[in-house]
Amino acid sequence: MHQFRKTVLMTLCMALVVAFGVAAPMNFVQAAGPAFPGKEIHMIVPWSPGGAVDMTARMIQKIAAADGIKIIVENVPGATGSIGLAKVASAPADGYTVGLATTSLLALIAQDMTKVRNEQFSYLNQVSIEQLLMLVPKGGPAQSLEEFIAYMKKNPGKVSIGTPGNNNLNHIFAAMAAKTAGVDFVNVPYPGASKAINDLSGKQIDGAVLKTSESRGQIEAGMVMAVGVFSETRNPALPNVPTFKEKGHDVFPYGLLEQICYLVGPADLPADVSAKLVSIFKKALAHPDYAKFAKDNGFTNSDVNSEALRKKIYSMQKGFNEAAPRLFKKK
Amino acid sequence: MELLSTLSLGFSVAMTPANLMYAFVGCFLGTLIGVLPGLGPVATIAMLMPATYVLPPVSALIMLAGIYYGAQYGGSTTAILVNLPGEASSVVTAMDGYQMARKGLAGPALSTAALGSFFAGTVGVLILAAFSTPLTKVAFKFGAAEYFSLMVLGLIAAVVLASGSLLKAIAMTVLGLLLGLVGTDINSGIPRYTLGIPELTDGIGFVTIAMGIFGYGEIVMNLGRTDMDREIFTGKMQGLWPTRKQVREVTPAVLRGTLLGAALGILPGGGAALAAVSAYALEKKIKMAPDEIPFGQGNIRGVASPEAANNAASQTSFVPLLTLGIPPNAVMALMLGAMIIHNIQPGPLVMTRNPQLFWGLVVSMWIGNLMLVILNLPLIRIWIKLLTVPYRFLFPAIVLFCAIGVFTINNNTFDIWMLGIFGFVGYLFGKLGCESAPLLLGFILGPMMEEYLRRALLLSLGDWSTFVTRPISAGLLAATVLLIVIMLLPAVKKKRAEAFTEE
Repeated sequence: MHQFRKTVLMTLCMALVVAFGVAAPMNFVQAAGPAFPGKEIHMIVPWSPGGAVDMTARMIQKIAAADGIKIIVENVPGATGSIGLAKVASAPADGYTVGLATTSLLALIAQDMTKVRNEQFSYLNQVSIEQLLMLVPKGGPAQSLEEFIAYMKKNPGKVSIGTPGNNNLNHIFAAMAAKTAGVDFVNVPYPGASKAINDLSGKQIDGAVLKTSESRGQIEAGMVMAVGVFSETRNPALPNVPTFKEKGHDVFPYGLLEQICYLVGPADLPADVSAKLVSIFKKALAHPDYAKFAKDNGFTNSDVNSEALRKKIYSMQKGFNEAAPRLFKKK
Repeated sequence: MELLSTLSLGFSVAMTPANLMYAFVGCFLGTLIGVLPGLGPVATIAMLMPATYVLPPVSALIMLAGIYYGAQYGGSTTAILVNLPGEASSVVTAMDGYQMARKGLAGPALSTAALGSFFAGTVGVLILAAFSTPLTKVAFKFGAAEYFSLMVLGLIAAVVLASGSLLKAIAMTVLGLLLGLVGTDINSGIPRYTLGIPELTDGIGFVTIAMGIFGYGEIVMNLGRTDMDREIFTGKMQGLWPTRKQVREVTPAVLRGTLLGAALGILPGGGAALAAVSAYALEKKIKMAPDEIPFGQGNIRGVASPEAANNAASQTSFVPLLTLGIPPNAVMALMLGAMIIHNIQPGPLVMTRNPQLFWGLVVSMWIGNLMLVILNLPLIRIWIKLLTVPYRFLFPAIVLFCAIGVFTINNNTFDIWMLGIFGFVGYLFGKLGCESAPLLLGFILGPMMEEYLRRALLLSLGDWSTFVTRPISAGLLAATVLLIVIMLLPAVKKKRAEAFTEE
């Protein structure tokens, strides 16, 4: 019996150790030296583990680790990223807490659906640009952009276009696609891209607007096809897919809107800390492994940082503010 | 024999000593984490992923898969021993499993769950290896209307599940549906019943509700009793193995559960929880042996069948992942992510582009299941001994682990407050004699039903006849009507009443 008690206690102790190891990404603070960073940098990902942003964070973590920079990826999902970003905004402005924001935040702000504001952040580096694609099922009634637009014209108000979530950039572009045909459409919101592409592959919906990284595998396998890129340029991973612009359709009446992911810190970061962070991440983002990761997943990036990034975000915010009341139904 | 050649390729990858070791480490870690209430595989895999960066991709994925299985298995252990279902699919396991544990039958309950799961897992892997491609076509036939009709069938089955008052069961199911409404409406993007709290815009977490109601609620109930009346497990314990009579009861139940689970797992919108619920409902409909223990009081079939079903479903849920590149749940999404970090382009072409990785992973799933049985049969003795730990030590540990577990999901303290609130709610339900399982099932199925109902209507441009003009959907609805009619038949009603008076 005593033996068993012991075993039980041992098991509980072991369990306790494991629990703490898992539960707390413990922050053993080292003596902060004069040089920044003197300890781990926490990178808050305001989405669940496993998504595109999370993977990007973990890729950066992997590359930076080789350079001796320790990054702890912390997933704080909820409220379309608002909860994690609010945590970044309220963190001490010492450079040890940064976070990854996306264009989704701008759409939320435009509709006053979050308390987070762009002024609460310092702008560091642009991390990725994800082009959105107009997708149709392979073997469906339309197999090119012209055919899809003709199909919408022929079935006014009946063509369904799936988007992950709604009132976001995907939704704006779906509305733009319908606008080129001059008709109404049925927006079918999904809780995530995977369910949308599943229904698209099974021809349950007529079209979908998704990121390249969310659809490339299914495009290559011949289950769905991309008929148009919502961007100024073609996608390097899909060189045969034309842009809407090439076909004479303007999808940016509200200025250039892109699905980007960018690194932010709390407002009022000291200038030297902010400059150091920008240079650390600039180096990681320029690494060949990151370039390969970007290419494999069909996204691009360009070196936009600090003030230039802030300007870009503020100008996109203006575009969203104009588009939101016109395109999204307020109920 | 393409199947044999692909499987042997898989074995050649999975059976290297290094990969066997990684599978073992994964299963072991997963089991440890799984028996801690609330600590789920998603948090664990996310935390341990950096440690796998240095491994070759196949080994990394094998280890992560081991963690997944281990954690899932460990989740059933806590459901049976302390009535804490760690995930949606083990809610029904707790119903009869915990009653068995209270009667001193924890050993047979756990070993039956282990062996039943292993059998189901084996069948699942074989189905996966042999029929992936044709099965995908079936999944494509399921649109929003079909899923909705499937959910209706599941929900009706959930009401049939209840072992007490039918009225209370319906009330609890409806309450679950209402709780499921909290969060952002997918169709309009408008937050509902969130009281302006940002943490509620994604709804209330399943684990938070389950841990609160089942875990904390139960603890408060227990502390409210005097020492003498307190939850005391029968001193006399049956050993590890089921008796011959129990084996006779269990075998057909495992077979039924496996088949049902394997079928439901293939649908990306179905999943393990629905499989377990349906399997349990099916067992209740099967005629009982004259001397059998009623359901809800520790019937071993009520443990074996849903456990087999959820494991078979979790195997076959790889079908959409591997053939369509569509992750059916959060763990699989994370596995996809791990592939990306390891420079493997996930998607439908993985099978042809990286056959070694693909088949190695499939075979290691089976090996992982086997290891879990080997690992856990000896451990069962230790888990059972946990029940002899005095309650004054056990309950603070459960309280602590639940809190840690809930925190790891979103790294947010708000969830711990919710846990406390639902603990109080669970205590109230206990006092009122309302069963919590139908509430959880309503909570899981409700939002899914709403999503599919509204999407089906969006696609049919508001035409309700879409549910009966699409043949699969019509068939499922017909089955639901049949189920209700059978339930209302006087003969069955009488039998139901009899079953309750026996209590």
